[in-house]
Amino acid sequence: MNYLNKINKINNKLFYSTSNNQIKNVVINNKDYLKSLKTNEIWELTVGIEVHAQTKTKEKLFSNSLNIGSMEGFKANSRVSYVDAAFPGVLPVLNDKCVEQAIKTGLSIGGMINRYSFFDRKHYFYQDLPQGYQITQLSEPIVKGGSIELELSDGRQKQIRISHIQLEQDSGKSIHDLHPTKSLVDLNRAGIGLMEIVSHADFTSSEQVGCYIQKLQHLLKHIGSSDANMQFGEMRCDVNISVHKENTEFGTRVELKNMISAKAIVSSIDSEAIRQISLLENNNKIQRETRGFNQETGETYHLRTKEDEVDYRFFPDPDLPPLIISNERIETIKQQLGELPQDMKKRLIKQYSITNYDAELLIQDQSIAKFFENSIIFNQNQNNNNNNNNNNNNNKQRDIKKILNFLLRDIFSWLNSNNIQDFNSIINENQLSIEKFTQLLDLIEQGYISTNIGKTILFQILNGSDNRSPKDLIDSQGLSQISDDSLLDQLVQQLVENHPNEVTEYHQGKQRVYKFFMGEIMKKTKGRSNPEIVNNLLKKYLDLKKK
Amino acid sequence: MNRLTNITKIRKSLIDGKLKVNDLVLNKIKEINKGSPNHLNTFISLQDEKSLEKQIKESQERYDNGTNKRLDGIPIGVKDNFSSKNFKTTCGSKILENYKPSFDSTVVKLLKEEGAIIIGKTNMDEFSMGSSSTSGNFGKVINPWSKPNKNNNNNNNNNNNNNNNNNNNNNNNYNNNNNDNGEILYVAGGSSGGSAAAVASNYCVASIGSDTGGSIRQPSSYCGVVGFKPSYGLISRFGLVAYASSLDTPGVLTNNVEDAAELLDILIKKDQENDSTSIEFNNNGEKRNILNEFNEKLKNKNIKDLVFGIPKDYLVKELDTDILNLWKEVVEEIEKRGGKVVSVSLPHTRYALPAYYLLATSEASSNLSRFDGVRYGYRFEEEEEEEEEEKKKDENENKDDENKIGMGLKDMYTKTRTNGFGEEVKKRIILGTMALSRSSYDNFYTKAQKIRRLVSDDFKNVFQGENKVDILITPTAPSPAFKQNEKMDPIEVYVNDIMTIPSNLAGLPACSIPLKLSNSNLPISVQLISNRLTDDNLLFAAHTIMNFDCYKDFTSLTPNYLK
Repeated sequence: MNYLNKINKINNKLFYSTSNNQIKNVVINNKDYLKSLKTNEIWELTVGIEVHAQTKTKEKLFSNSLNIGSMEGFKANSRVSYVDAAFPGVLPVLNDKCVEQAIKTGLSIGGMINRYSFFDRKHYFYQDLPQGYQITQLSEPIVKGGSIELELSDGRQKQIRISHIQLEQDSGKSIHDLHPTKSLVDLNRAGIGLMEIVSHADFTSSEQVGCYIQKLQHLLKHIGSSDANMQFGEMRCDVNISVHKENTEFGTRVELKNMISAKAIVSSIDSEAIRQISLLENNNKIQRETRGFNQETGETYHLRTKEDEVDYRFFPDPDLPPLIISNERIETIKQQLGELPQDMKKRLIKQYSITNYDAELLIQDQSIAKFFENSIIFNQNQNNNNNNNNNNNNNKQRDIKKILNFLLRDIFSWLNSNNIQDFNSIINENQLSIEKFTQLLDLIEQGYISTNIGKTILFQILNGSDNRSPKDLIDSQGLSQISDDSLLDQLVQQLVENHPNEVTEYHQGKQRVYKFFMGEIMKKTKGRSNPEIVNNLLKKYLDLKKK
Repeated sequence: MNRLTNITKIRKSLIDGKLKVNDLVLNKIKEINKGSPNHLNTFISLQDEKSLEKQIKESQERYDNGTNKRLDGIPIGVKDNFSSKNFKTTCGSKILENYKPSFDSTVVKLLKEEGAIIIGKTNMDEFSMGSSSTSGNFGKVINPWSKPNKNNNNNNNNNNNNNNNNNNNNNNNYNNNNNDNGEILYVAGGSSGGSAAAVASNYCVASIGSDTGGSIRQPSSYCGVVGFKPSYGLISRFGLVAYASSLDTPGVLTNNVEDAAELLDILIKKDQENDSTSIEFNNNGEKRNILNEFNEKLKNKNIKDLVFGIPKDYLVKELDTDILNLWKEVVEEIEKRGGKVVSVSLPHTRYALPAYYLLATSEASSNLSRFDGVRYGYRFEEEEEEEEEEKKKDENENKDDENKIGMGLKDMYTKTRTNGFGEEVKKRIILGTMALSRSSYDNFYTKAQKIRRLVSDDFKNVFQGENKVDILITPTAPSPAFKQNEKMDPIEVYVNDIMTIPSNLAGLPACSIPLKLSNSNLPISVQLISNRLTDDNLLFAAHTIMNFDCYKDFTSLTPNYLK
C-alpha cells in the first residue's frame, strides 16, 4: 500500500480511463456511458463483482490448522490437517471466529445478518479441491443486502448494492511449472475461510469498480475482518461484464476470472468492454464465456465457455447443522465494531475542521487516524492542570495544521521512500511513539527548535537508530534555538554595524540584501536562532540606521 | 456348550484370575482360523501378533494389580469403515485396500481408552452399500448359521478361503449354495455382516457396526445377535468413513442387551470438537447416563409400564410366515405379562424406501468424491495401462520417464474410480449424481427430503399422540438370511431394508433382538424402535422381551456351521 499514491491515483483519475482510440468515457446527466469513437454511439456498461476475501482468523474455516493466508514462504503442505486434506472419515467443524468476521463485515456494509443460514456443497473434481466439493453457502448465505457508497473523482456519489456475503472454503494451490510432466499441489491454502462478497450489477464504469475495490479493501482492513491484500491473494475478484445500448435489454455477460490487482481489474474491464462493443458493432454476437486477462497485452482471452462448465450439484452439507445466529450475538458484535471509515471521516472533518482530502488520508488506516487524534490531546490536560487550575482552558489542543503537516506530508513521504506498508509498524517505543511525537510538537511550539530542525529530528526518530527522546536528541546535537535575546541582539547589532554598504543598499530598496543579513545570522548561529526574533531585531537595527 | 458371552461375567473371571487375557484373546484367534484361515471371512484384517501380545500383556498387568479398565482385554471387532490408527481401514473397497489411517476414529479411541483389544476389522459390503456383505473386495461373509456338510466338518470346502492379506479377488470358494453333500451357505446380511457373524461365532465378545439403513440390525437378525443403533448423534461419527452422513449411525452388535448398554455407555459421548452433529444424551437439557438409566429401569420398572405399538404398515406382502408368526407371538407374550399393545399407523412408511435410496445415494455420490487417487488409497498408475498395452503391442524402446506426458488428470480420475470402486458403489454414485443434478434436484432430492420429514412426523404422532407409545415392535427384516449367490432382482434386495430404513430417516434408536430359530433353523428377530433420545427405554424393553422364558435360551445356542 502506498499512502500518498493511493489517493493520488483516485484524484488523478488513473481509475477513470478507457481513453484509447476506440472508446471514450462520457458522463451524461450524471450517468456514466461509453462512447464508441468509431460509430459515435453511446453504450452502457454493466458490471457486477464477486470479491473473495480471506477471513482474518487464526485457524481455517472448518479445521484447526493454521490460517497463513496466501503468504508465500511456508513449506508446502505444512499447514494441512486431515480435514483440509479430506481424509476418509473426518468431518468439518465450523470455526466460530470466521462467522464473527463475516457478521462484522455484514454489519459494516449495512447488510442484514441472516439468523438462519446453512452450508451447501458445490461439487467438482480438481486436484487442489481435496473433498471433491467446496463447502459454501448457496441458498441461505450469512449476510443479505447492504451497500457501499462510492465517491467518484469528479465528486459524484454512487451507491453499489451488495447482494449477499457467503462464507466458503478456499481451495489449495496447483503448481504447474515446477515439473515437466507433473502438477504439484500445495494444500496450505485449502480450507481457509473466504467471505464471498457479491455485488449487484450496479457498476457502470471501470472507475467505479476500481473505487469499489479500494473502498472494500479499506473497509475490511479497518474493521479487521480481512487483511485484504490483493498482491498476497488475500483478496481476489471475479468480474461479470456486459454492454448494451441505452434503453435496450442487457447484453450477454462474460465473466473475467482471477484478477490479481485493482489495476488489472480496471484495465480488463476497459479492454473487455471495447472487445464486446467492437463485436456488437460488427454485428457479431457475444458468447457466454469465462475469460482471463493478460496484463502484458492488456487484453482478455478465452478460458472456457458456459457449456464446458460442470453441474455443481449443490445440496445442503449433511455434516453441518444450520448456522443459527442470535440477536444478542449480533448486538454484541455491533457494539464491538467501532467507528466505520465513513463515519470516522465525517466526524474528523466536522470535529477538526480539516479538508476532505486530509480526512481521506487519515482514515486510510485506522491507526493513523487514532494517532492523529491522540497527538492533539495527548498529555495536554495534565500539563494544563499542573500549570494552572484554570478549568476553562482545560482542553487545550495542539495545532491541528501542524500535526497534519508532520503526519500526512513528512511521515507519509518517509514511509513511501522507505517502502513501509504498515503505519503501525513504526508506532512503537523505539521509533515513533505518541510521547515522542507530541514532545517534538511541543518543543517546536515553545520555540525550542525551529520547524526545520523539528523535521530533522523527526526523521532521526523514524530511522530508529537513536532511541532517545526528542529533547535529548536536540540537546546532544546542540540544535536548540538560541532564545537568549541579548546574544542575538548583540549579533544583529554587530552585523549591521559591520556592513554599512549593505545597509545603504537596503535603504535604497534592495530587498535581497535583507536576505543577506538573515543568512549571515543563521550562519553564525548554525540555524538555531529563532527567525522571528532575528527578524524583529534586524528591522529594529536597520531602521535605526535609516537617515 | 458353555459360552462365556457376557462382558460383566468375563470381566469378573479376569478380575478373579480364573481367566487370563491371553487365553481369552488367543482362543478367539484360534476360533477365527478354525478349519481355515479367517474361516467365515468375517474379518478383512486381524490385529498383528506383536501389538496383540503387547496389549494382552498390558491388560493382564492391570488385572493383576487391580487397575483394570472397563473393557480391559475384551476382544472387540470393529467394522472396517471405522478409522483405526496404523491398522488398515478399507471399507471393503479396492480404492482403500492399503489405506492405513494415522488417527483413530472416536469410537476406536474410546474403546482403546477402556482397554478393549481391537482384535480385527470386520468384513462388510463395500462402503456399506449392500444388505448381504457379499459385495466387498475381500470376499463374502458366511453366516455361521449356514448348513454344514453332513459328512464332514467342512474342512474340505474351505481350504481356498481368503486370508487377511490376500485380497485380489472377489471369489472365495463359497460358490455353491447347495452342495452335493448338503452344505447350504447363507449370507450374513449387511452391510455390517462381518461384525454380526463375528459375534454370532463368538470370534469376539462384541463388535462395532454402522447403520445407515439397517446395516447393523439386518445382519444382527440374520446372524442371531443383538444389534443396537442409538439415536442419531449420540455416538460420534468422527473417523467413520461416510456413506450417507445424515443417516450413518455407529452402533453395537452384542450377545445380549446388558453388553449393548455397557458399550453404549462408553461410546455415547459428545464430540463437538470433531463432529458437528454430535449431541449430548439428555432429557430437556438434563444430561443423563444411559447405563444408570437402564439399570434404574431394570430395578424399578416392568413391562406393564410400557406401551407397545404395532405399526400395521409394516405388514408387507413380502413378509415371511415364520417372521409374521414370531411378530404375533411377541405381542401375545407381552399381553400375557400385562403389557399394553396398541395398533398404530405410520402411513408414509411405503414412501420411505425410495426416499432413502435417493437421499443415501445423493450423499454418497458427494461423500465418495474424495476418493480420487490424489492423496491416499488406490490410484490407477500408467504402469497398469502400459502392462495392458504392452500385452498387445511389441515393446519398442525405453521411454524417458521424465519427459513422458502423463495420462492427464481427468483420465486418472476416471480410471482410478472405475477400477477402484465395485459395481454396487458405482451404481449408487451414478444414482446419487443423477438425483442431485440440476435438472432432477427438485423432483428427486427435494421430494425425498419432504418424505423424510413426513416419515419423521409419523413417528412423532405415534410417540407423542394419544396412545403415548413407548416402543414400536416390527420385524427387523421381511425374511431370515437368504442363500449365498441367490440370484435376486436388485429391487428385491433393496426391499430387504424396508423395515429398518424409517428409523434412520427419523434418527430414532432402533434395536434388533434375536428370539428364536425359524422352521429352517435360521435365527429370526424383531425390531424395537423408540422415540428419539429414549435409548434407555429401548434397552429396557429389549432386555425384558429377550428374557421372556420362551426366548431367553436363544443366546446359548451354537450356530450350526460351527458345531
